[in-house]
Amino acid sequence: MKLLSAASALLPALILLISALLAARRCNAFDAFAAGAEEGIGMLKRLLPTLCGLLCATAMLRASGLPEAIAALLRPITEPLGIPEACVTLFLLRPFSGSASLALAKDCMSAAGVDSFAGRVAAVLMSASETTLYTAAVYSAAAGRRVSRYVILCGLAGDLAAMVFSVLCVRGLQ
Amino acid sequence: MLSYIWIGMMAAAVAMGICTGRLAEVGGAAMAGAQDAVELIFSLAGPMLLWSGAAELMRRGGVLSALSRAVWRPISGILRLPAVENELRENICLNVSANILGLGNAATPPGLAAAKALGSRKGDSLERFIILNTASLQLIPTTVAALRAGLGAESPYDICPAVWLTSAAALAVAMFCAVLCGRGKK
Repeated sequence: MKLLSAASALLPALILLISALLAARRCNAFDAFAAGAEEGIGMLKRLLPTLCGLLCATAMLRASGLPEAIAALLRPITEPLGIPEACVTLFLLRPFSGSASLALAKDCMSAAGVDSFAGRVAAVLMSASETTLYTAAVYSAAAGRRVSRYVILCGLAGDLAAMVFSVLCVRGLQ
Repeated sequence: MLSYIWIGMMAAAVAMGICTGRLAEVGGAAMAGAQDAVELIFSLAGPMLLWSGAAELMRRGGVLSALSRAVWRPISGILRLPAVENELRENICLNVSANILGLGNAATPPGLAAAKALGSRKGDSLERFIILNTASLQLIPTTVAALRAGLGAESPYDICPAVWLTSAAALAVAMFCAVLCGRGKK
Protein backbone atom coordinates (compact mmCIF):
# COMPACT_ATOMS: atom_id res chain seq x y z
CA MET A 1 0.00 0.00 0.00
CA LYS A 2 3.02 2.27 0.43
CA LEU A 3 3.37 2.49 -3.34
CA LEU A 4 -0.20 3.74 -3.65
CA SER A 5 0.18 6.61 -1.20
CA ALA A 6 3.48 7.58 -2.83
CA ALA A 7 1.66 7.96 -6.15
CA SER A 8 -0.85 10.30 -4.53
CA ALA A 9 1.95 12.58 -3.35
CA LEU A 10 3.44 12.77 -6.84
CA LEU A 11 1.69 15.92 -8.07
CA PRO A 12 2.31 18.16 -5.03
CA ALA A 13 5.90 16.89 -4.81
CA LEU A 14 6.46 17.65 -8.49
CA ILE A 15 5.03 21.17 -8.22
CA LEU A 16 7.11 21.95 -5.14
CA LEU A 17 10.33 20.56 -6.59
CA ILE A 18 10.13 22.37 -9.91
CA SER A 19 8.97 25.64 -8.35
CA ALA A 20 11.99 25.52 -6.05
CA LEU A 21 14.21 24.78 -9.04
CA LEU A 22 12.78 27.72 -10.98
CA ALA A 23 13.04 30.03 -7.98
CA ALA A 24 16.69 29.07 -7.57
CA ARG A 25 17.26 30.19 -11.16
CA ARG A 26 15.49 33.48 -10.39
CA CYS A 27 12.54 32.62 -12.64
CA ASN A 28 9.05 33.52 -11.53
CA ALA A 29 7.55 30.14 -10.71
CA PHE A 30 4.13 31.46 -9.87
CA ASP A 31 3.81 33.30 -13.20
CA ALA A 32 4.68 30.08 -15.00
CA PHE A 33 2.07 28.20 -13.01
CA ALA A 34 -0.61 30.84 -13.66
CA ALA A 35 0.16 30.94 -17.40
CA GLY A 36 -0.20 27.16 -17.57
CA ALA A 37 -3.43 27.17 -15.58
CA GLU A 38 -4.81 29.76 -17.99
CA GLU A 39 -4.21 27.32 -20.83
CA GLY A 40 -6.26 24.84 -18.83
CA ILE A 41 -9.27 27.13 -19.13
CA GLY A 42 -9.08 26.80 -22.91
CA MET A 43 -8.96 23.01 -22.56
CA LEU A 44 -12.05 23.03 -20.35
CA LYS A 45 -13.85 25.38 -22.72
CA ARG A 46 -13.18 23.07 -25.68
CA LEU A 47 -14.15 20.03 -23.63
CA LEU A 48 -17.57 21.25 -22.45
CA PRO A 49 -19.49 21.17 -25.78
CA THR A 50 -17.98 17.77 -26.62
CA LEU A 51 -18.87 16.34 -23.22
CA CYS A 52 -22.36 17.84 -23.38
CA GLY A 53 -23.16 16.08 -26.65
CA LEU A 54 -21.52 12.82 -25.67
CA LEU A 55 -22.80 12.54 -22.10
CA CYS A 56 -26.24 13.18 -23.53
CA ALA A 57 -25.76 10.23 -25.90
CA THR A 58 -24.26 7.93 -23.23
CA ALA A 59 -27.09 8.76 -20.80
CA MET A 60 -29.63 7.89 -23.50
CA LEU A 61 -27.75 4.69 -24.20
CA ARG A 62 -27.75 3.68 -20.54
CA ALA A 63 -31.46 4.47 -20.13
CA SER A 64 -32.30 2.33 -23.16
CA GLY A 65 -30.75 -0.76 -21.59
CA LEU A 66 -28.59 -1.50 -24.63
CA PRO A 67 -25.25 -1.71 -22.73
CA GLU A 68 -26.66 -4.48 -20.51
CA ALA A 69 -27.92 -6.31 -23.59
CA ILE A 70 -24.49 -6.10 -25.26
CA ALA A 71 -22.77 -7.11 -22.04
CA ALA A 72 -25.07 -10.13 -21.74
CA LEU A 73 -24.34 -11.04 -25.35
CA LEU A 74 -20.58 -10.88 -24.81
CA ARG A 75 -20.66 -12.65 -21.46
CA PRO A 76 -19.03 -15.84 -22.83
CA ILE A 77 -15.94 -13.75 -23.72
CA THR A 78 -15.87 -11.22 -20.90
CA GLU A 79 -16.62 -13.55 -18.00
CA PRO A 80 -13.53 -15.78 -18.30
CA LEU A 81 -11.39 -12.63 -18.61
CA GLY A 82 -13.02 -11.12 -15.52
CA ILE A 83 -14.08 -7.95 -17.34
CA PRO A 84 -16.81 -6.17 -15.33
CA GLU A 85 -20.05 -5.81 -17.30
CA ALA A 86 -20.25 -2.07 -16.62
CA CYS A 87 -17.00 -1.63 -18.59
CA VAL A 88 -17.93 -3.61 -21.71
CA THR A 89 -19.17 -0.70 -23.86
CA LEU A 90 -16.16 1.38 -22.83
CA PHE A 91 -13.83 -1.45 -23.88
CA LEU A 92 -15.56 -1.72 -27.26
CA LEU A 93 -15.34 2.00 -28.07
CA ARG A 94 -11.92 2.83 -26.59
CA PRO A 95 -9.84 2.41 -29.80
CA PHE A 96 -12.29 4.43 -31.90
CA SER A 97 -12.98 7.69 -30.09
CA GLY A 98 -11.16 9.41 -27.24
CA SER A 99 -13.95 11.74 -26.17
CA ALA A 100 -16.73 9.16 -26.51
CA SER A 101 -14.77 6.75 -24.35
CA LEU A 102 -14.05 9.50 -21.82
CA ALA A 103 -17.81 10.02 -21.55
CA LEU A 104 -18.37 6.27 -21.21
CA ALA A 105 -15.62 6.03 -18.58
CA LYS A 106 -17.29 8.80 -16.59
CA ASP A 107 -20.59 6.99 -16.94
CA CYS A 108 -19.10 3.73 -15.75
CA MET A 109 -17.31 5.37 -12.80
CA SER A 110 -20.39 7.23 -11.58
CA ALA A 111 -22.78 4.30 -12.14
CA ALA A 112 -20.62 1.56 -10.60
CA GLY A 113 -18.93 3.83 -8.03
CA VAL A 114 -15.65 5.61 -8.62
CA ASP A 115 -13.73 3.44 -6.15
CA SER A 116 -15.48 0.19 -7.08
CA PHE A 117 -13.72 -2.54 -9.03
CA ALA A 118 -15.46 -1.66 -12.30
CA GLY A 119 -14.84 2.06 -11.75
CA ARG A 120 -11.13 1.47 -11.23
CA VAL A 121 -10.82 -0.83 -14.23
CA ALA A 122 -12.49 1.85 -16.36
CA ALA A 123 -10.04 4.49 -15.08
CA VAL A 124 -6.99 2.28 -15.66
CA LEU A 125 -8.02 1.22 -19.15
CA MET A 126 -8.85 4.80 -20.09
CA SER A 127 -5.39 5.96 -18.96
CA ALA A 128 -3.35 3.05 -20.23
CA SER A 129 -4.55 3.03 -23.85
CA GLU A 130 -4.80 5.50 -26.68
CA THR A 131 -7.34 6.19 -29.39
CA THR A 132 -5.51 3.72 -31.62
CA LEU A 133 -7.38 4.18 -34.89
CA TYR A 134 -7.32 7.98 -34.73
CA THR A 135 -3.63 8.15 -33.86
CA ALA A 136 -2.67 5.62 -36.52
CA ALA A 137 -4.67 7.55 -39.13
CA VAL A 138 -3.13 10.93 -38.28
CA TYR A 139 0.45 9.66 -38.19
CA SER A 140 0.05 7.57 -41.34
CA ALA A 141 -1.29 10.61 -43.18
CA ALA A 142 1.71 12.65 -42.04
CA ALA A 143 4.20 9.99 -43.17
CA GLY A 144 3.58 10.60 -46.86
CA ARG A 145 3.99 6.99 -47.89
CA ARG A 146 1.99 3.81 -47.61
CA VAL A 147 2.17 2.46 -44.08
CA SER A 148 2.01 -1.30 -43.61
CA ARG A 149 -1.43 -2.42 -42.55
CA TYR A 150 -0.07 -4.37 -39.59
CA VAL A 151 0.30 -1.10 -37.68
CA ILE A 152 -3.44 -1.10 -36.92
CA LEU A 153 -3.35 -4.77 -35.93
CA CYS A 154 -0.42 -4.24 -33.56
CA GLY A 155 -2.09 -1.18 -32.04
CA LEU A 156 -5.31 -3.10 -31.49
CA ALA A 157 -3.38 -6.04 -30.03
CA GLY A 158 -1.93 -3.54 -27.57
CA ASP A 159 -5.43 -2.32 -26.72
CA LEU A 160 -6.58 -5.87 -26.14
CA ALA A 161 -3.61 -6.42 -23.83
CA ALA A 162 -4.51 -3.19 -22.01
CA MET A 163 -8.04 -4.51 -21.43
CA VAL A 164 -6.85 -7.81 -19.99
CA PHE A 165 -4.08 -6.23 -17.91
CA SER A 166 -6.27 -3.42 -16.55
CA VAL A 167 -8.50 -6.07 -14.98
CA LEU A 168 -5.52 -8.08 -13.70
CA CYS A 169 -3.64 -5.07 -12.33
CA VAL A 170 -6.63 -3.55 -10.55
CA ARG A 171 -7.34 -6.92 -8.95
CA GLY A 172 -3.69 -7.53 -8.07
CA LEU A 173 -2.87 -4.10 -6.67
CA GLN A 174 -5.92 -3.60 -4.50
CA MET B 1 -15.37 9.34 -36.84
CA LEU B 2 -16.78 10.94 -33.68
CA SER B 3 -19.79 12.17 -35.59
CA TYR B 4 -20.73 8.66 -36.71
CA ILE B 5 -20.19 7.24 -33.25
CA TRP B 6 -22.36 9.97 -31.75
CA ILE B 7 -25.20 9.43 -34.21
CA GLY B 8 -24.81 5.66 -33.82
CA MET B 9 -25.07 5.85 -30.03
CA MET B 10 -28.20 7.97 -30.13
CA ALA B 11 -29.83 5.91 -32.89
CA ALA B 12 -29.08 2.70 -31.00
CA ALA B 13 -30.51 4.20 -27.80
CA VAL B 14 -33.73 5.30 -29.50
CA ALA B 15 -34.14 1.99 -31.35
CA MET B 16 -33.55 0.01 -28.17
CA GLY B 17 -35.88 2.38 -26.29
CA ILE B 18 -38.66 1.64 -28.76
CA CYS B 19 -38.06 -2.12 -28.49
CA THR B 20 -38.06 -2.16 -24.69
CA GLY B 21 -40.74 0.50 -24.28
CA ARG B 22 -38.33 2.78 -22.41
CA LEU B 23 -38.47 5.64 -24.89
CA ALA B 24 -39.69 8.11 -22.25
CA GLU B 25 -36.70 7.31 -20.02
CA VAL B 26 -34.36 7.69 -23.00
CA GLY B 27 -35.75 11.15 -23.74
CA GLY B 28 -35.44 12.21 -20.11
CA ALA B 29 -31.89 10.89 -19.94
CA ALA B 30 -30.84 13.19 -22.80
CA MET B 31 -31.55 16.24 -20.66
CA ALA B 32 -29.97 14.70 -17.57
CA GLY B 33 -26.86 13.83 -19.56
CA ALA B 34 -26.43 17.38 -20.84
CA GLN B 35 -26.78 18.71 -17.29
CA ASP B 36 -24.24 16.10 -16.17
CA ALA B 37 -21.70 17.56 -18.58
CA VAL B 38 -21.88 21.00 -16.99
CA GLU B 39 -21.58 19.62 -13.47
CA LEU B 40 -18.71 17.41 -14.55
CA ILE B 41 -16.79 20.32 -16.09
CA PHE B 42 -17.02 22.20 -12.81
CA SER B 43 -15.76 19.26 -10.79
CA LEU B 44 -12.97 18.66 -13.35
CA ALA B 45 -11.96 22.32 -13.46
CA GLY B 46 -9.89 22.49 -10.25
CA PRO B 47 -7.66 19.46 -10.85
CA MET B 48 -7.29 20.28 -14.55
CA LEU B 49 -6.18 23.87 -13.93
CA LEU B 50 -3.78 22.68 -11.23
CA TRP B 51 -2.34 20.15 -13.61
CA SER B 52 -1.94 22.50 -16.57
CA GLY B 53 -0.16 24.90 -14.24
CA ALA B 54 2.17 22.11 -13.17
CA ALA B 55 2.72 21.13 -16.81
CA GLU B 56 3.87 24.65 -17.68
CA LEU B 57 6.18 24.61 -14.65
CA MET B 58 7.71 21.38 -15.95
CA ARG B 59 8.22 22.85 -19.39
CA ARG B 60 9.85 26.05 -18.13
CA GLY B 61 11.80 24.16 -15.48
CA GLY B 62 13.51 22.12 -18.19
CA VAL B 63 11.97 18.79 -17.22
CA LEU B 64 10.80 18.25 -20.79
CA SER B 65 14.25 18.85 -22.32
CA ALA B 66 15.99 16.77 -19.65
CA LEU B 67 13.62 13.89 -20.27
CA SER B 68 14.09 14.33 -24.03
CA ARG B 69 17.80 13.66 -23.66
CA ALA B 70 17.18 10.64 -21.45
CA VAL B 71 14.69 8.79 -23.65
CA TRP B 72 16.83 8.50 -26.80
CA ARG B 73 18.68 5.30 -25.82
CA PRO B 74 15.65 3.10 -25.10
CA ILE B 75 13.62 4.64 -27.92
CA SER B 76 16.29 4.18 -30.58
CA GLY B 77 16.46 0.53 -29.51
CA ILE B 78 12.71 0.08 -29.84
CA LEU B 79 12.58 1.84 -33.21
CA ARG B 80 15.80 0.20 -34.47
CA LEU B 81 17.28 3.55 -35.42
CA PRO B 82 21.04 3.56 -34.86
CA ALA B 83 22.16 7.01 -35.94
CA VAL B 84 19.94 9.66 -37.45
CA GLU B 85 20.16 13.35 -38.24
CA ASN B 86 19.75 15.67 -35.26
CA GLU B 87 16.40 17.11 -36.24
CA LEU B 88 14.70 13.74 -36.49
CA ARG B 89 16.24 12.63 -33.24
CA GLU B 90 15.03 15.76 -31.46
CA ASN B 91 11.51 15.42 -32.83
CA ILE B 92 11.22 11.79 -31.77
CA CYS B 93 12.54 12.53 -28.28
CA LEU B 94 10.28 15.54 -27.84
CA ASN B 95 7.25 13.56 -28.99
CA VAL B 96 7.94 10.68 -26.61
CA SER B 97 8.80 12.81 -23.59
CA ALA B 98 5.82 15.14 -24.07
CA ASN B 99 3.62 12.04 -24.18
CA ILE B 100 5.20 10.73 -21.00
CA LEU B 101 4.53 14.02 -19.20
CA GLY B 102 0.95 14.12 -20.50
CA LEU B 103 1.51 17.24 -22.61
CA GLY B 104 -0.58 15.96 -25.50
CA ASN B 105 -0.64 19.27 -27.36
CA ALA B 106 3.13 19.51 -27.28
CA ALA B 107 3.59 15.92 -28.47
CA THR B 108 1.73 16.01 -31.77
CA PRO B 109 3.68 18.57 -33.88
CA PRO B 110 7.13 16.99 -33.39
CA GLY B 111 5.51 13.56 -33.71
CA LEU B 112 4.07 14.37 -37.12
CA ALA B 113 7.35 15.91 -38.26
CA ALA B 114 9.17 12.76 -37.16
CA ALA B 115 6.65 10.55 -38.98
CA LYS B 116 7.28 12.54 -42.15
CA ALA B 117 11.04 12.15 -41.86
CA LEU B 118 10.78 8.45 -41.01
CA GLY B 119 8.51 7.95 -44.02
CA SER B 120 11.41 8.65 -46.37
CA ARG B 121 13.63 6.03 -44.71
CA LYS B 122 13.80 2.34 -45.50
CA GLY B 123 12.81 -0.27 -42.93
CA ASP B 124 9.99 -0.43 -40.47
CA SER B 125 11.01 2.38 -38.09
CA LEU B 126 7.99 4.41 -39.22
CA GLU B 127 5.63 1.54 -38.43
CA ARG B 128 7.19 1.10 -35.01
CA PHE B 129 7.03 4.80 -34.30
CA ILE B 130 3.30 4.89 -35.10
CA ILE B 131 2.68 1.84 -32.92
CA LEU B 132 4.61 3.56 -30.12
CA ASN B 133 2.24 6.50 -30.45
CA THR B 134 -0.87 4.30 -30.40
CA ALA B 135 0.26 3.03 -27.00
CA SER B 136 -0.13 5.20 -23.95
CA LEU B 137 3.16 6.31 -22.41
CA GLN B 138 1.66 8.76 -19.97
CA LEU B 139 3.32 8.75 -16.56
CA ILE B 140 0.50 10.54 -14.74
CA PRO B 141 -3.04 10.03 -16.04
CA THR B 142 -4.07 13.65 -15.53
CA THR B 143 -7.53 13.75 -17.14
CA VAL B 144 -8.71 10.50 -15.62
CA ALA B 145 -7.31 11.44 -12.21
CA ALA B 146 -9.14 14.77 -12.45
CA LEU B 147 -12.30 12.85 -13.37
CA ARG B 148 -11.81 10.57 -10.37
CA ALA B 149 -11.26 13.55 -8.10
CA GLY B 150 -14.41 15.19 -9.49
CA LEU B 151 -16.44 12.08 -8.79
CA GLY B 152 -15.24 11.99 -5.18
CA ALA B 153 -12.61 9.24 -5.29
CA GLU B 154 -10.79 8.71 -2.00
CA SER B 155 -7.36 9.01 -3.56
CA PRO B 156 -7.60 9.98 -7.27
CA TYR B 157 -3.97 9.11 -8.13
CA ASP B 158 -3.86 5.67 -6.53
CA ILE B 159 -4.59 4.07 -9.91
CA CYS B 160 -1.09 5.09 -11.09
CA PRO B 161 0.77 1.84 -10.38
CA ALA B 162 -1.94 -0.18 -12.14
CA VAL B 163 -1.83 2.27 -15.07
CA TRP B 164 1.96 1.97 -15.40
CA LEU B 165 1.89 -1.83 -15.35
CA THR B 166 -0.99 -1.96 -17.82
CA SER B 167 0.61 0.52 -20.25
CA ALA B 168 3.92 -1.30 -20.11
CA ALA B 169 2.23 -4.63 -20.81
CA ALA B 170 0.20 -3.15 -23.67
CA LEU B 171 3.28 -1.55 -25.23
CA ALA B 172 5.23 -4.79 -24.91
CA VAL B 173 2.47 -6.77 -26.62
CA ALA B 174 2.09 -4.20 -29.42
CA MET B 175 5.87 -4.11 -30.05
CA PHE B 176 6.11 -7.88 -29.92
CA CYS B 177 3.43 -8.06 -32.62
CA ALA B 178 5.34 -5.44 -34.61
CA VAL B 179 8.49 -7.57 -34.50
CA LEU B 180 6.54 -10.62 -35.67
CA CYS B 181 4.77 -8.73 -38.48
CA GLY B 182 7.94 -6.98 -39.62
CA ARG B 183 9.75 -10.29 -39.82
CA GLY B 184 6.93 -11.96 -41.72
CA LYS B 185 7.16 -9.35 -44.44
CA LYS B 186 10.78 -9.96 -45.30
